Amino acid sequence: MELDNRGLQPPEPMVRILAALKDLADGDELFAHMDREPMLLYPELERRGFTWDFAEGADGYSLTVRRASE
Amino acid sequence: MTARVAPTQSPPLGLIAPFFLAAPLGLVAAGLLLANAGHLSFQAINLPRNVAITHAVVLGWITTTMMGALYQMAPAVLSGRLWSERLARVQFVIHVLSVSFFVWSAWQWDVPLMGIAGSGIFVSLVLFMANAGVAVARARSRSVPRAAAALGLAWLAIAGGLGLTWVGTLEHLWFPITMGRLSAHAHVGLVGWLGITLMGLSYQLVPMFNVVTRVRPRFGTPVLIIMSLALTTFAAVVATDPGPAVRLPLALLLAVAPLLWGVDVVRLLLGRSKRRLDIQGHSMLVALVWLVLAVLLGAGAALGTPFTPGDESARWLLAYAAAGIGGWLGSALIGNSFKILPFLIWYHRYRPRVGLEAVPVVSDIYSERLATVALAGVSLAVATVAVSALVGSVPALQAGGALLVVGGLLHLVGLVHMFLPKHASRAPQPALSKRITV
Repeated sequence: MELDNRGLQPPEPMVRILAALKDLADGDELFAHMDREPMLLYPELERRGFTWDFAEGADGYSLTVRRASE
Repeated sequence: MTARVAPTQSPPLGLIAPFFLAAPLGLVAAGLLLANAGHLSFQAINLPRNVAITHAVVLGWITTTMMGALYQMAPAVLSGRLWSERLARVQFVIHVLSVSFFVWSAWQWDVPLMGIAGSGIFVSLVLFMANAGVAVARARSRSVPRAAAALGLAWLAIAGGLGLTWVGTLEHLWFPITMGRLSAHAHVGLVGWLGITLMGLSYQLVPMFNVVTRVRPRFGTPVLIIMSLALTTFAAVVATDPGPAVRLPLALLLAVAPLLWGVDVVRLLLGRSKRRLDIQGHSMLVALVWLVLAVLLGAGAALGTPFTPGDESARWLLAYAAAGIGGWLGSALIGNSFKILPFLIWYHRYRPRVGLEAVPVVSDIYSERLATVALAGVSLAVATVAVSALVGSVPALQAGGALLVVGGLLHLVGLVHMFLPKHASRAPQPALSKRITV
C-alpha cells in the first residue's frame, strides 16, 4: 500500500494511515510519503501491533509500517 | 537515513486543558479592573491598578496559555518527555492561586502580601521551567522551535527573578525601582519569555496548520539570535534610565527581530497549499498588524514628551502595552489555542477509534465562528483601550475594560465548546493509491 500524505495538516496523515492499516494483510507494508515525522502516531501504531521505519530521502520523508509479528 | 523513534506520548488532556481554560479568566479579571479605572490610570504606569491589570493579562492570560502550549508541544512536537506530569498538575494549582493572589494584592498595594504572592509565582515558574526545561533538553533534534523554547525559559527565569527582586525592594527598600528598571523587567518578560517563545513555536505551527511545503523560513535562527542580543542590550541599558536619544535606538533595535519574523510569517502564509485561511491564519495576520502598531507606539514611548506628557505619562505607555500584549501576543495566542487544544481533544478522544468507525475531524471539534468572534472581540477591546489611552478618555478606557471582559468570556466559551460531544461531519476518505505486496 502506498499513501501520499504530503500537503495535509494534522491529524489527517495519522487518520489516513490508521484507516489504511485496517486493510493491511499479513506480509504487506504500508509506505507513506510524509511532510514531517508523525511523532504522535507512533504510540498508536505500537498499541495496534505495528512496527515502523521513518526515513529521510531525496524526495522527502517516508514512513513504512508493517505488522509487529513480522 | 533511517530513524527509529521511541513513541512519545502526548500529555493527558486533564493536564493541558486546565491551563487553556483558566487563562481567559486572567483577561476577564484585567477587564473588570480596567472597567473601574479612573484618571489615575493615565498618570503613571506603575500605579497599583495598572500593575494589577498588567499582571492579570501577562501572567494570568498569556503566560498560563503559553505554559499549557509548551507542556503539550514539547512532547508532541519536539518529542521531549516532561520530567513529571504530576509536578505539572501541582504547578498549575500554585500558578493560578499565586497569580490571583498577586493581582489582588497589587490592586490593594499590600506590599507584604505582594511579596508572598510573588514568591508563590516564582515557585510556580521554577517548577514550570524545570519540567518544561527537561522536556526541551530531551528533544531529539535541533530546531528553531526547540531553541526558542529553551531561550524563552531562560528569559522567563530572568524576568521572574527581576520581578521578585522588585517586590522585595518595595518592602525592604534596597534600591529605587526606576521606570527604566521596570521597563527592563517588563520587556524581559514580554519580549524575552513570551515573544521569543511565540515566534519560535510559530515556525512550527504556521507551516503545519497552513500546509506550507514549498516555502521555507528565511529568518528563524537569526530572529532568535538578534532578539536575544537586542533584548540583552535593551534591558541592560534601559535599566540605567537613559534619555530619549538612547531610548529610541534601543526601541528600534528591539523591533528588528519581530519584524523579520513578521516577514517570514507573511511569506509562509502566502506560500501555503491550503486555500482558505482559518482562525490561526487570520489571527497571525491580526497579530502582525498589532506588532507594527506596537513598534510605532514603542518608538513614541521611547521618545517621551510630547508623547508622554508629564502629568499623564502613562497614556502612551498604556497604548503601547495594549498593542503589544493584547494585540500582538494575545491575537496570536487566541488563534493558536483554537488549533492546539482541539488537536489534543481529538487525539485523546477519537484517535483510538480511527479506522474502526467514523470519527470527527479536528475542524469538527471547534467552532470557527466562535473563534472568529473571540478574536474580533478581543481585538476591538484592545483597540478601544489603546485609543482611549492615546486620547486620554477615561469613559472610553472603562468601556475598553468592559469589552476585555466580553472578549475574555468569548475566548473561554470558544474553548469550552470544544469539549462538547461532536459527530463526524464526513465519511472516512479512501486512502489507498496502489497496492504493493512485499
